[in-house]
Amino acid sequence: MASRDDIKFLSNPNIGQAKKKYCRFRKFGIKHIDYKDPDFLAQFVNEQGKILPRRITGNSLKYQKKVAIAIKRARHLAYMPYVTDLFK
Amino acid sequence: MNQYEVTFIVDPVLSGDEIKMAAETYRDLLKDEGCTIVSFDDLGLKQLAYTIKKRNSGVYYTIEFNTPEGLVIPKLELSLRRDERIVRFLSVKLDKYGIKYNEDKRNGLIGKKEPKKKDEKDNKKNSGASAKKAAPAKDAAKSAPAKDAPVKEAAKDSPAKEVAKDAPVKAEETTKLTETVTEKAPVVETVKETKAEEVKVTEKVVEKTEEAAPKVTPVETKGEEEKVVTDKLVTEKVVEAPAEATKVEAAAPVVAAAPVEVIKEKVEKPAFDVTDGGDNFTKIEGVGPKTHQVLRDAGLKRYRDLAALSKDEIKAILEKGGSQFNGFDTTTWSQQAQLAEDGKWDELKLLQDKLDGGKLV
Repeated sequence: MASRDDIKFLSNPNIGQAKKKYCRFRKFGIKHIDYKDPDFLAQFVNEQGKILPRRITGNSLKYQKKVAIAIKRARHLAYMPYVTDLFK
Repeated sequence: MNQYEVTFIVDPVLSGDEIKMAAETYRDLLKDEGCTIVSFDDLGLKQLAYTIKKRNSGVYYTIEFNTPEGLVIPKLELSLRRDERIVRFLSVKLDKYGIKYNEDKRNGLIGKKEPKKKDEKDNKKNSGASAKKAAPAKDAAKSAPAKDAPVKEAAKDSPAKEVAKDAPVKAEETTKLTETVTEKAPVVETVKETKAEEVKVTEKVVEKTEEAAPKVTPVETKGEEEKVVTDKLVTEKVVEAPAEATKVEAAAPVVAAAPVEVIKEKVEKPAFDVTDGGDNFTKIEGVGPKTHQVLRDAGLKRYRDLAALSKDEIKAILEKGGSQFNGFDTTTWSQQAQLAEDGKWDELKLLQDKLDGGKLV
């Protein structure tokens, strides 16, 4: 695939490359995830209340596990639903 | 020492006292077992995310406590499980980060940094600062026009800030001007500060008249006249960038035939529908923007000028403007202009309702 400057594309080939994903916990030094804070945890959950995969949220493995545990605790205590529609 | 946190939900159908009693029993239980209680929180009545035991809400309690050993936990959990007043519970062992987090939360260190407050602060700073600067500027202008030195410097600082604050559209325009203007007469800067009313009035003007940029030069020459103006004008807080004021100032006097006259006129009728220093003829039924321009070119500035003419005279003006204006019926224009001049907008509207495209039906 020779890249030449005079190749014209219909749409920008840089689409989808822009944002660099990072683990927000490692970046901002957040060490503890509180299960009693459903608003914060809602970031890691989709509209049906399901936990989002790591490749979507950008979390590192360590923190993804912590997030998952926190969400499950929150679900147990009815801070968050197990399954729903229109969660967000 | 192990630190634990237990959260439980009490049945909401109980009376307030019973709920408190239920929570207290567990606190006492822990105390009796020799635990030091770090905190006991009543999180209050909350909606449950799903129904538990046919209930949709519950009262949440959290107890954080310390023990040398963990033997109290099974006891605690057993009694929570057996208690019919408790619908759910969860006990968690806290690691050092958890302990720190809870501490910070209790001290209020956790939570959003409230960017709104910052904006408010900045606004207050800017508005307070500009108000202060506006005040001394006003005093300087009124008392001794020559004393520009302190205000100048203040004014020079604020443009930078205020430019940064404003809407990007205006900021772009104004930055150009600030550059050009700062090179010029310092008097202009004091003018900027005290130009609040002018700015508000002619805000629309600024956006429309892009020719203001080259007209900055005339501002310099008319510096003295503007001093006079600033004395007359009422000073309010400068919200928009001061450079805008210069643009406005540039637009206003330049557009008018005789600068001082127009400024004086502006003082008389500051807030009245100013597009380029005169009246908006398009308010008259039958007059559109092109016709308005023709009338302007003929030298008609205010409604009274138009009202003074007879319909034939108006027709003559239109014909000079171009052949497309030939078919216009100008019978009622002077009448409408007179109503507009007097400010009788309701009557004007009534008249216009009767008209159909400027013609009396």
